[in-house]
Amino acid sequence: MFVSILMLLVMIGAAFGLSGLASTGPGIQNEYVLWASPAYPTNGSAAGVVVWVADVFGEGRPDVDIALGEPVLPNDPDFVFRERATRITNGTGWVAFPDLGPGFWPLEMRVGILTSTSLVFLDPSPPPGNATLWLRRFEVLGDGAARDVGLQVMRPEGRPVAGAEVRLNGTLQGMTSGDGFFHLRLGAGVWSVAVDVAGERLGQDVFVTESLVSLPIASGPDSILFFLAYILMGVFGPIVAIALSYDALAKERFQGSLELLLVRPATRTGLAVGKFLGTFASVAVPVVGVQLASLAGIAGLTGEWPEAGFAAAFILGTMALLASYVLIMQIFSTFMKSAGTAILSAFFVWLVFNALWNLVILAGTAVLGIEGGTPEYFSFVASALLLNPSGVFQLTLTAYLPPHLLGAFGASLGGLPTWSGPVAFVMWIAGLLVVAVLVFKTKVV
Amino acid sequence: MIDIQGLTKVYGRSRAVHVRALDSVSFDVPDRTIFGFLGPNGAGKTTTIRILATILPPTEGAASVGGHDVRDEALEVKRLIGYMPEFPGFYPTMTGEQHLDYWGRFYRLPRADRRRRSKDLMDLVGLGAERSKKAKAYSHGMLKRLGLAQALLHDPPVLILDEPAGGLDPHGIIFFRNLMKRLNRDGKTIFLSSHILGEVQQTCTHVGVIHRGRMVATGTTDEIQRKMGRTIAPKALVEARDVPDALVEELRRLPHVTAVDRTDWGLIVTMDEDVRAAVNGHLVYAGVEVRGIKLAEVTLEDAFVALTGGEAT
Repeated sequence: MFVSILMLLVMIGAAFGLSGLASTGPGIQNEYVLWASPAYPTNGSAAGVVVWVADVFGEGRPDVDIALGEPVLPNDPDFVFRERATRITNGTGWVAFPDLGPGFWPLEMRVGILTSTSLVFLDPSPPPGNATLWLRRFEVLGDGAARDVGLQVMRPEGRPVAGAEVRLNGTLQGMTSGDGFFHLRLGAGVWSVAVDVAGERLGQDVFVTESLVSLPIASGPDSILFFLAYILMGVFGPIVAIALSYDALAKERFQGSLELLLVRPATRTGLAVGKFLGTFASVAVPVVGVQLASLAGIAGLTGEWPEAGFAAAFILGTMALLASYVLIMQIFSTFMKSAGTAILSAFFVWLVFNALWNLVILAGTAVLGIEGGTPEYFSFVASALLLNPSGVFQLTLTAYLPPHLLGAFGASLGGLPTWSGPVAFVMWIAGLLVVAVLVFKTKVV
Repeated sequence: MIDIQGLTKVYGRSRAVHVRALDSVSFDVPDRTIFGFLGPNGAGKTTTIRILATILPPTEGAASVGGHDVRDEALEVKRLIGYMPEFPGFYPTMTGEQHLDYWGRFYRLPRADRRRRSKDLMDLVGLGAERSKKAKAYSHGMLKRLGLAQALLHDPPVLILDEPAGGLDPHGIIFFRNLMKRLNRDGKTIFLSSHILGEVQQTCTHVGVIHRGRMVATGTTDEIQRKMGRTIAPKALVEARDVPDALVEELRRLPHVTAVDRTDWGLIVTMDEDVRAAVNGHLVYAGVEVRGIKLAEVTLEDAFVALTGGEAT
């Protein structure tokens, strides 16, 4: 009871504290992004340039000055912008410069004191294919990693492709907007971004580095829940589960009640499973209460409920995390003959799966010769997480992150499929349960 | 009711910890008897009891209760037996009544039955007034009584009790003795181990003696005593006062007399044959007034000491 109340206070307090922090949001350079594309008219006219000014999320910016310069030579070190024409974006952020002909055409976007220059190459003939994918990356969260990806899909004639399916590592993320835009936020690692247009797949790989900031500032219900889930539940969950289950069997043994349990008309398998369920319930019931109270607290503080799928992953993932640790401790407890050794085993389990796991990863990369920050490194880290219930918990939460948080705070699946976390949990729990039953049948006498 | 054939239990696989706790133990416990299981410390009593209670698997041999093998039909055996370990452990924060209710659920007793049964049993073992107290407030004797109550919860035909009277005060011992006899009259077979030989002699109808993992005697209590009476050196209890030292020395030199000890009331003459007539004649001839001379009865304790070589229980 005491642990539950303490946990509740910590989680509500954290939610309250986080709700008061301001969002960093995109900076001015991310609020006004110049998207310029060649336009090859089908009526035989000379090629031109179409321009969209939008933020990183693809929201158009009207009334922005766009200047077209005289054509230039590529890589000209003496380049000077000589203005040829100036136009203002319309209500959707669009503006066009038709009938320009082949060459390198410079563009300038002018927003207050901000001037951004871009160069568009117009080929004498249209490029092959149905569409072109323009992909740009931004650092929005201020964590040192360019994890926000904006993309626009354009047809050769200069029209945007609306409704094109955007996939991330093969998983559908959504469809392009009416102006051909789509936004992704990625975690550290290598990502394959692909867009399907009329049977043609346009794709590009994106490599996102680790966050350079250890504790990001978050806002909004999902961000707060993210923090509660990853940081607080990731830390407190194992501690609570271990603290309440480390002597589940050892205590029965040294207080003498185990013998009275063993002579009841139940099979050893039934007794082992029953012991697990009883211990798990004693841990899970108060924790679920804390979780529901936390969700309600987040909603009360921010005025919004966290995204349902993410909240469900938070609750179910936590249950699986607790079940895994309860089973691990039940197995250890089967062998422990005294309170002292039981406590030592609890500390050992927590230490290995939480405090020392990074050392395990470090040792693994050293032995295998994997260089940090490479795609192989991220893949190895994610795979290593599968061998640790706390790591599987992280992967499970990451798999169900809302799209706008995808990749936030360095969360990454490292190329693993989204189902890897939940499936790993099922395997962990099933495997541990089998081991717990076997050791109970053979070692409990 | 209980049948044990060639039961062997070996602890530890490595040579360093290899212990043969039971070595081809065989005996049976007839239905509706009170069987006292005796043996020195480490003889194998608790190991045997734990095998019968299905807690420990035997290494070799077979044991059955009510015709059900303890290894292959453990569930049936568990339904037939009520088991009380030497030190029954309880959950400190649960009351006596809550314990009985909790254990009762394993036998799928309906809630009303559990309540009624718990109350009846708490009254039976003399804990009626203490049933709402937490186990941590119970004395050793009260925990023993609660241990017996939980063993009786499902009204089993067989009770397996490890040292039921161990550590009890005289009132507790008398209480347990009377309760054992009452339960036996009600038709229960009781298999108990005990260190208190006098108690076993008063309570048990049958006795088995185990020594260093082997059975050295089984039978009714009388049979054991009679059997041992033939092998234990007879003792003459001579009721006579003021026997001179010189005469005691003469008695020691008589044929077949192996020892003479003084007591408050006379002499104890240990013999390898019954030579009471010669002893009596010698004393009377010397002018000593002999008020009585009789052979000492062989007690269970004598038998036990003779069977186990004098090792402590």
